[in-house]
Amino acid sequence: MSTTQLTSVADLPAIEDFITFDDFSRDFVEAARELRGREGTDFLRGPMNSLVVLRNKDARTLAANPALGNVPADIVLWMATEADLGSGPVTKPDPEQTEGYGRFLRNQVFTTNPPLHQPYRNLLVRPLMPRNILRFAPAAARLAQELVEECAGRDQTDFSREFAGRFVTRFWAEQLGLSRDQAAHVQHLMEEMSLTFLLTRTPEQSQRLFSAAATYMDVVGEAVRKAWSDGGNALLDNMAAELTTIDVEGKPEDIGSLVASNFFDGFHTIGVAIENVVFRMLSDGTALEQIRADPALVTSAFYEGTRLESPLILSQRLTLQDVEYNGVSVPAGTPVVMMWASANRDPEVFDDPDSYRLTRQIQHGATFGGGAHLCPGRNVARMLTEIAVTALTAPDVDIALVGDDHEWAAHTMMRQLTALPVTIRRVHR
Amino acid sequence: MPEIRFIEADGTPHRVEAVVGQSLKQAALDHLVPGIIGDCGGCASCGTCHAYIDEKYLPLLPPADENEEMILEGVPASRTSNSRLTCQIPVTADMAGMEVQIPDTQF
Ligand code: HEM
Ligand code: FES
Repeated sequence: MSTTQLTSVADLPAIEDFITFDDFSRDFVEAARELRGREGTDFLRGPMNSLVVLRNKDARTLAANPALGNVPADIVLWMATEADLGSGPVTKPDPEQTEGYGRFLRNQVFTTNPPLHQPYRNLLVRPLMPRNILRFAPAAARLAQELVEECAGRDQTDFSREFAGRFVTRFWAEQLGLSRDQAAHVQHLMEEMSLTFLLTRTPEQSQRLFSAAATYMDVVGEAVRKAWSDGGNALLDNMAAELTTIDVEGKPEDIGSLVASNFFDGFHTIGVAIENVVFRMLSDGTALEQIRADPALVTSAFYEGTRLESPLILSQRLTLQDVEYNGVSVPAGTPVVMMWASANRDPEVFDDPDSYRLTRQIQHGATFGGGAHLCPGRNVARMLTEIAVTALTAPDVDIALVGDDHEWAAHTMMRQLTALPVTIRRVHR
Repeated sequence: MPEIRFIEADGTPHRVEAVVGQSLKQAALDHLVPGIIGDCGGCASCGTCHAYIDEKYLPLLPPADENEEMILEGVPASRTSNSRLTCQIPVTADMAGMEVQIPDTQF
């Protein structure tokens, strides 16, 4: 293609030519459907001259382009505190207020780029590959049973807090050397830290986020450092040993910060995935019965539930050099907003994309991003979700939604219901 | 265009006219061969393009690097001496007639 045909990101139609930013972020999934239906919306200009990607093929192709790197921690921090998205007040906190949050961001693989990115990333990829996580399955199955028991004793279960969040925090606490009390503390901190996904925060919300992040880094960091020095934890031993072999500037300070920063999605986002998968399963007329009849369908329930309700609706990359793609010229330093949840409902790839089908072929999903940044936690997210759903669909368990007025949280990058009350009971069938 | 035979775990064969220079994974995807998934788009990051390569063609292939070895160690299907990530193998003319066995699972 000749350069004369290129459109620069700055000249693309803006989201706000079609829809106010407020409406766009109120329910990204609905807004993306609306935008995909309009002409000339494959690429849009977002806030701060970012490139917004809606289509499956584009998201997956761009995700695999090495020129699209991660957004460095200082820019993420700036975006979280100083950037004006035009959708609410901007908080400009004092640097000491954001010290813990900065530490949290700085130690994440999610904010690294070459040359540190691959060796650091592989440190997480290795222990979390499908074969290597099988050893965690018995502990997860035991915890899922324990929670079914706890919930069966209640009239009603707040599924997010009393099952999903508790399950994933107890699970990782066990694997990473935290006590049950610390697990409960971390679960509470996750609720505060989920404020990180809001597009704009009030000064009070920002304060809560920064303070929770600092406490989280200290609590998990300390517990992990202690568990590691006590010895006998293979997961920590292996990661710590691999960390010593990395000789690149910017690597994490120690095993404690490494784990705290990178397992946040383990403590938090897997819980959201379980909620969304269970919600979709229970909302469908026949899925629960189908899965009871054929337990192998839990795999489809995981992929279909997270395809339709992708926990991380969007995330950003940053162009590390100039990129030309499909007639668009994207200068180095451009934020690229990957709308994973939109890519997951693209009718060009998924037939009748908004329908829930356990028979759908499992391919082309964008729930976990793609390319050399494809989420290292995806296999363990699936395993834990499948184990939870298996426990909840056992022949002697009944699970049902309470009420039918479910609402997705607004103005957040995390696809999560405002509440998911359910009943869980033991039955004799 | 060398013809490559992809064979599913249940024995179903797929003859694929592969384009020299593209990856084996891409050749399979372009012909909708089931069982080669390619979640990471060919970045040797996911392992879902794992397959077993015809022993006699192994010497023709570029050796797996450290990263590919690490991914192969963690794939869910058995890992054998002829296990490779098909996204890391460029198709060459002398691959005509090669058989590629697809594992029973990629997830
Ligand atoms: C259902 C749960 C999860 C979802 C929906 C999710 C989603 C994502 C997405 C969309 C990305 C961006 C990939 C890209 O830019 O192409 C990502 C990256 C990442 N995720 Fe997850 N994730 C989940 C669980 C986890 C878990 C459990 C961990 C760790 C234990 C984890 C660690 C990471 C890391 C370190 C990255 C950065 C990878 C890189 O840049 O190379 N995630 N995740
Ligand atoms: S396509 Fe992901 S490793 Fe080959």
